[in-house]
Amino acid sequence: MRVVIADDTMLIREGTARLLEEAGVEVAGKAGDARKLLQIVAQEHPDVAIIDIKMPPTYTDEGLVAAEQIRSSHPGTGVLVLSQYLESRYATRLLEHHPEATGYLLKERVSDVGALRDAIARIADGECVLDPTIVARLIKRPRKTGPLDELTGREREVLALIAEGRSNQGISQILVLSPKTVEAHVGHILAKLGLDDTPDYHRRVLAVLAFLRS
Amino acid sequence: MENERLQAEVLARLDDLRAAQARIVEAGDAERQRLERDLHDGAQQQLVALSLTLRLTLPQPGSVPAPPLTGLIDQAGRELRLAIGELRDLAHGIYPAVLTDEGLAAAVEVLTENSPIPVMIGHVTQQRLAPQAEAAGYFLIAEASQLAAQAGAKGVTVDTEHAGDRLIVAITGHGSSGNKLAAGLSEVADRIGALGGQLCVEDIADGAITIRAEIPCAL
Repeated sequence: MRVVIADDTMLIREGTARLLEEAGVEVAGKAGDARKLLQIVAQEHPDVAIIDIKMPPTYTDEGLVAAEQIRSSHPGTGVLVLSQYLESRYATRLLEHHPEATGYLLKERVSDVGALRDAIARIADGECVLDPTIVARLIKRPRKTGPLDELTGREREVLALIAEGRSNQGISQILVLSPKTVEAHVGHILAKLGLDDTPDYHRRVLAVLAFLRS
Repeated sequence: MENERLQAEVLARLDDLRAAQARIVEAGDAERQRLERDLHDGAQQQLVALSLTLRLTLPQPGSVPAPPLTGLIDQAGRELRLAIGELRDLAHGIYPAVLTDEGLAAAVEVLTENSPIPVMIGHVTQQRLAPQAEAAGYFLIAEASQLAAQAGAKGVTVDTEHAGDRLIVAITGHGSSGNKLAAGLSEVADRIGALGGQLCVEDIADGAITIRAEIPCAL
């Protein structure tokens, strides 16, 4: 796997690069701002670009904007946005437009190299990955009535794990269920959300969007 | 004649005073925004960098591990993550970045994610308004839903409307006393008053209470 890293804080940029290299991920380039990032992506065609949400010059949403540009003009490159914000709003903004090969993780995950590498691999596979802390918050919030009300408690648990970017196998390990049972739950979830006719990974991504919007 | 002159002078003084109050609120908001940014971009980034450095001190895969040290570093990493989370909550409480970036409607939506009781969004204006009006509306809604939760309310409903040059905010909840609410809201009421707006707490039928505010919001 080849990645590029964009973060204006040198210590974080270099530290993340070193950790990923130690974990066997090739770092094809590093950028301190969005302009440099877009240049490197155009030259290197990495599998995934890892992008800090806040970068110069205004430190508001340059990272999000750059991520959206990359998904539009370099379809072969996935994006992983790292953010200090727990609010689902920023994640929703990113995933609504480009739900495939896209991830949104809290910044502090960079020191959990296992989780980071896992997220990069899933994004490179075209899936979407949402930070577990954000997913947990969304599950707890009071919701308007909607299609998610049809789901059983267990099905909601499974949907939350799909939103975190887990595979069926990963979900069966976490919930201690047989792979067949997980498959059945996923089938029920997709049917209840009216997504049973779309191709496989699209369906998972759309299910996550339904979860975010609920 | 003299009376009229005096009256005009008093009125002019009052206007000055109102303008000064509004400037104080604006300066306070600007300071809150600066603090929020400093916490997020300064302290929090440094803690993330520190957690990376700590992780890099761990033995590389394949080398001989030193279990006690590894355990301590893992523990320090977990504590750091807690600190980063607490700092995030603190910064958000001071001035939510989403309020600056996307305005009142977005910030209220975020409130529904971390309020102790359900916050239902009724009809809300999506328009961007003067920053001090957005902030006053936001802190009123945040404060009122906290107070309603403490008073045992099961939930609140929030409506906002942009009417002419005013932002109208209404928060309705069940099961709490109007007098207590009004007392708890005195700080927000001062903020709204300083901007030339009004706040009132109304007891309506069946034990429901509506907190209603009108805040000047011209950009």
